[in-house]
Amino acid sequence: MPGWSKRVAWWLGAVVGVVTIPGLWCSRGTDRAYAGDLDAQASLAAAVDGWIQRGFDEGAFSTGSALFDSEWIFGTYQMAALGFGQMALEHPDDRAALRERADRAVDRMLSERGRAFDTNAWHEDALAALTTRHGHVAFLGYANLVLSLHRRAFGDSRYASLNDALTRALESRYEASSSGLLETYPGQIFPVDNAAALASIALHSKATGLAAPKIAALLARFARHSVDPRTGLLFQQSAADGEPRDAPRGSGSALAAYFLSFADASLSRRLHEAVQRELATSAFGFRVVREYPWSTSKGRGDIDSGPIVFGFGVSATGFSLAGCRIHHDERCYRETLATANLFGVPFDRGPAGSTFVAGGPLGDAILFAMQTAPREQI
Amino acid sequence: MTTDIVDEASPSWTRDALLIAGLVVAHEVMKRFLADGGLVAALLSPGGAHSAFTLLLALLLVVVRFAIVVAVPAFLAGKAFELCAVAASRIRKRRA
Repeated sequence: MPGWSKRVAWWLGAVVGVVTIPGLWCSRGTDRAYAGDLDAQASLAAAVDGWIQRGFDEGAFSTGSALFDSEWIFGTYQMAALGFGQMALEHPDDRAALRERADRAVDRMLSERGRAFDTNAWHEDALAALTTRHGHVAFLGYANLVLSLHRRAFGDSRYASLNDALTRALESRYEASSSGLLETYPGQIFPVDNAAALASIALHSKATGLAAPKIAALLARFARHSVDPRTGLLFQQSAADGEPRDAPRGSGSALAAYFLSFADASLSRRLHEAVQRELATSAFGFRVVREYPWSTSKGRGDIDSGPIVFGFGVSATGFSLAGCRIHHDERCYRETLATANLFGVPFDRGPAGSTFVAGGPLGDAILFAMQTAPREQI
Repeated sequence: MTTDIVDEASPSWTRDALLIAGLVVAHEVMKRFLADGGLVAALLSPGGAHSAFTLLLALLLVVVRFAIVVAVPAFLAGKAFELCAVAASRIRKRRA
């Protein structure tokens, strides 16, 4: 047989192989994950609980910034607690075991170490400053979302009084805010952090049955100020008057679509659709999400976006997984999870659970929360 | 006959098989070595306080993983097509 025809056959096969096999290989099990398979979720939960039980020593995260190291510790506990709560809602029979794990994550999240990122940035403890007007919205918003979900998932939550106090503190801060946005750190406003805070107020109302009369107006004002009318994406950062200070971006938009699903399904869907329309690219069974829209001049990667490779963001892609599940887009979910499987490097440790080697504790916790994001309105 | 076809399509199949096995072993070893964290910080923030060794391993893992998930299937599918083409050519010759 002539050499050239063998080469043609080889190249033809190689192209077929590239187009089909990696996508099929990496999407193994994604249908079970989408369907909420208990074993698949339990394996993720075991790995995340393992990280939390081991705890994080000084230097466990080494991002090069003490603030980000502390943020990642808090973020790991917060996302883990959300994942356990979501899983309890989906699998009520396992609620008792999940509650133990959720409580462990919540206790660590509320500990001095968990609060350190916020305390160091504000030079005061958020829990001791509830009556002030200082934003503290990263800690208060994210922590309160966990507490509201805990209450919704487990009923008689032992964090109920703290949940009430944080909700009141956030409500009074929003009442006093002229822009409808609270500061994450002094002089810094991130709409996605406010999305978590607003979601926590709405979810508190659902969990307790107590009315939150101002939440609809707050959400409307949030959408008016923080959603880019051109792309439908969320601005990453805002000025004190609520005007945008950064471009609309994928990581913030996808994470806000997840948070807001607890408060306003319609706004969450709009953000999810904008992420998919403006930023997502799908090929060969994989899906990736850009950090910046095509129309925006190339932006730099930062701690929020993670590495940006050819314009596609690690965080934006990972966070978008939740929107796919929440809004019943199975293809989107399976393709995005296939991408996470390709680059995240899943590793099954048997009874110790399944971990993403490239994700570490924070990556595992985020992918746990995103993979178990509720498909039903809660 | 089957051996002939394999030899014609891929005379260096033992070397290829060893290379693929080596990649798989390296991938599994690195996964176990790096599974206890640190990798994400190394990748996200190369300026961080982690060791250059971890960063190097992280990058190596990415390369090896990409090779295993994308390049090896492409190579094997290519070889499979090549084998089919050689076999088809032999059958045509014999019938002629």
